Amino acid sequence: MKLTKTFDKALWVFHVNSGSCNACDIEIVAALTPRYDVERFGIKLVGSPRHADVLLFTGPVTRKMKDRVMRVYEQTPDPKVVMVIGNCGSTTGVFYDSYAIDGPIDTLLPDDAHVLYVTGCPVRPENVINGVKEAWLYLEKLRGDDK
Amino acid sequence: MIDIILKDMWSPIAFILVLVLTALVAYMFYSLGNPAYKRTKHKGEPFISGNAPPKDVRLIHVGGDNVFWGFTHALRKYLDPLVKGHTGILNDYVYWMVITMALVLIYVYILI
Repeated sequence: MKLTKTFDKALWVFHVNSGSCNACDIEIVAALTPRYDVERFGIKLVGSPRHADVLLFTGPVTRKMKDRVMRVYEQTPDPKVVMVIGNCGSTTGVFYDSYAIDGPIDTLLPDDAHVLYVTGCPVRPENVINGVKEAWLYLEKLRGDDK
Repeated sequence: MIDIILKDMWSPIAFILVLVLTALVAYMFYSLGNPAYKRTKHKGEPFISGNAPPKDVRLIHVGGDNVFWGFTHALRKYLDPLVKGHTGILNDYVYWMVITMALVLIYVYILI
């Protein structure tokens, strides 16, 4: 989907835990605290995917969460970017080949999904901020290609 | 052309004109939309923490029944008897009509 100018402004972020151990989730929250304060860049955690530009997925996607992850992805309006936070989300990590895992997430999302990976176990808040910055650059590049 | 429309509103030409104009306006709005939009299975569903919305929409519907709560509460002395009067039984409504008509007739023919 063509990117609009709104992506030059604030990126609103929705966070989905797809079976994470909560370490990455705490680091995401740490990025919002006054020490890192991502809101000064206009990056805001929102309460509904229908308000979001970026989806943050943590966790390796358990079987129970698969449907919910797909539903939340589709409920997010286009254009959107998916940021996979942590090793579990990127590769299923230590849960590799588990009977309870349907992930990693990029195997579930449609082919045209824009996915960025922020690795770490857990990620550091600086990594998360850097990931959002990379998402920004990626989106700008994408829009340049569309022109 | 305007004369035809004004003189005879039921003429087929007027109907066709209105249909064509409506279709043009609808197409204008349609063409403003994003051509890359793809309809998928869950797109447009309400967000309930990722859970599937129930088939019965009343379970997730937030009604506007209580928007006037303060208003109805303040006027409850007046409204409660009216609500009680609405029994849904036809005999009661006929009874109220007969009583009211009798009072009106008494007022009109006797008191005046």
